[in-house]
Amino acid sequence: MSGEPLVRAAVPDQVRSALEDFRRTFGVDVNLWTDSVNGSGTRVRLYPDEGMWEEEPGGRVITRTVAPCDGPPLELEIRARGGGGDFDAEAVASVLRSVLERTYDFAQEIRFFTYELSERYEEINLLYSISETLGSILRLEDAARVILGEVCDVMGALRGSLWVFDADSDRLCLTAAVEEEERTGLTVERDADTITAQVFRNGRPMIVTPEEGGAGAPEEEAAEPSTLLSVPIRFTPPAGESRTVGVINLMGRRHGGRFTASDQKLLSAIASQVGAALENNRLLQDSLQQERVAREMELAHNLQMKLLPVAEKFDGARVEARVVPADSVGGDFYHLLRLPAGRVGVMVGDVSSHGFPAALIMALAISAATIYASEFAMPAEVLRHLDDALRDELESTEMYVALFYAVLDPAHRRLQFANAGHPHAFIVHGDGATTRLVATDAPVGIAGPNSYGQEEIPWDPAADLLLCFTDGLCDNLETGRGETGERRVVREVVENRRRTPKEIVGALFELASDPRIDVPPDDRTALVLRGR
Amino acid sequence: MGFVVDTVGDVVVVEVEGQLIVGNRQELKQKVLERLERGDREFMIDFQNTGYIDSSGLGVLVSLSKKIREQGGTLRLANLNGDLRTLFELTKLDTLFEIIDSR
Repeated sequence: MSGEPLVRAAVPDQVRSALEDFRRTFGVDVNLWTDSVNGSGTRVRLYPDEGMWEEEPGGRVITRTVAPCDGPPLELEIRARGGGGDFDAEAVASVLRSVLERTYDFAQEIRFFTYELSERYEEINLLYSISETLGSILRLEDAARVILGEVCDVMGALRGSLWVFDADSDRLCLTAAVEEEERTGLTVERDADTITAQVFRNGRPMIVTPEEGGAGAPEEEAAEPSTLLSVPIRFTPPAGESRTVGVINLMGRRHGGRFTASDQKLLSAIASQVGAALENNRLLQDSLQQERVAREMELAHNLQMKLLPVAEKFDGARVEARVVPADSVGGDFYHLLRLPAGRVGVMVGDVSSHGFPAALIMALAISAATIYASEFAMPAEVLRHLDDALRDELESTEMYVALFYAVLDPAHRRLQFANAGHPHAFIVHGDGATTRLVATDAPVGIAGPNSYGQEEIPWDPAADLLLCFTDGLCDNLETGRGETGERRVVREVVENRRRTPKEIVGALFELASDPRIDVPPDDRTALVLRGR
Repeated sequence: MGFVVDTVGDVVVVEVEGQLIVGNRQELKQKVLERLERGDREFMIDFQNTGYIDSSGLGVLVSLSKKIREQGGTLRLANLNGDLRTLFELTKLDTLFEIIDSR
């Protein structure tokens, strides 16, 4: 940036004032001429304007050449009126020449600084504008495009590109471009032999000119040679080391010339603002993603819980059941069914592992169980058909289901059950004695087709409690001092056997909330049922 | 937690240190299947230093047992502590494996 030569036809106000003062003070006519206007070669009078005053003819004419530092020389002409006064006209002419030269130079400097000031104002305004843009536009690509457009406009660049580093793919991605918008989305490897990649890796700005042999577009596409300015976008966290997160390139200048150190400084200042915005945007996107995932997990949890029957509303028995997945969703489940002749079906399942894979198997199991339990009277038949329904899915996922299914028949005071590898099923009798309902087979998915048997034991609907729970409830209660976690849970139920099922289940979960040993969290389920 | 693989005679012995759970079951599976692919057929998993097996761990044992049997091999489980042995019994998984007291 530099001030342009003054246009001589426009005499600066300061020069004009000086000439007026001399004319009045010394009573002389003063003329200022130039030969250079429009390159016509015609001598043009710069001062005074036509008709400004009437010149008196005659008198001695003294001329001096006025030579400002910048621009062509001017001719100063002084004519003493009325044959001259009581002063030395030669001396006045010399002084006036000197005054005019300095005045011209001062005027030139004022003009130069005014121009510089307006340039700086434009740059400061650009920085403010960028701050506003970054604060008001949430989408990174939109903000980048607006900012790059303004930067190109203010810095007089023909083209521009803004590259953002994607750590996941280890590539730089063209996020915004000016005059080459069609390239947006292009990516280059971090280790590529391009100017953009080099600036990113080195973290240092670069100015390249055609004469230096490296000019042109910063990437692989062919482009006409032009000046290039490439600066890294850096981000400095409040605590920690500064790092490069992208690159801004400007290519070519609207009015010719090359990029300067001053341009590099300005673009670096802009890049540091963009760096902070990029990082904020990344954090915002991460936060939004986490919120989205949390919402989806909550939705999945609610959907899975809706698959389970509401124990309080079940009118076939007095029952309470609770499932608490280790993650948002899990593989534990229970089912309660009203069967013909006043019988009640009770199912408790534990899909191996937990989380979404287990939840999918659980959803399959509970829907298939609803169908087969209403279709077949015998528990073993139900498990056999469930095995058929789930076998392929279980084999392909290497999962299995520990499944207990009992049919309570109050009229005949009996309980029939099939137990596919479920370890924790008991009857707690009125006197506090317990009966384990042992596994009749290995879990579904392991036992194999047609291998399910069943057992039958007496059932006192008024006094007996059916207790089922999964290992997640008891595994962390292992004390290692003679009482297993399972025994601790059973003891809790025996001690509380006269309370309501709801109170007993509440006590069990309170017990499980105080783990004694460190084992990975698992889904927890407890079901307590008493006949009506 | 980790696995130590050793060969005693014709038997590949894998010691399970700590727990066999969802977080490390794939590692055990990979180590055993690598040896199965290399031609080994006799396998023993030693639970001398194992305190806990979750349902995923049991699942991978079942899966390995099946794959080894398909190749004409055998898988034995050794040194299960009282609780783990009870777990196998309660879930009827003891019917799928040859469980031995010690190596």
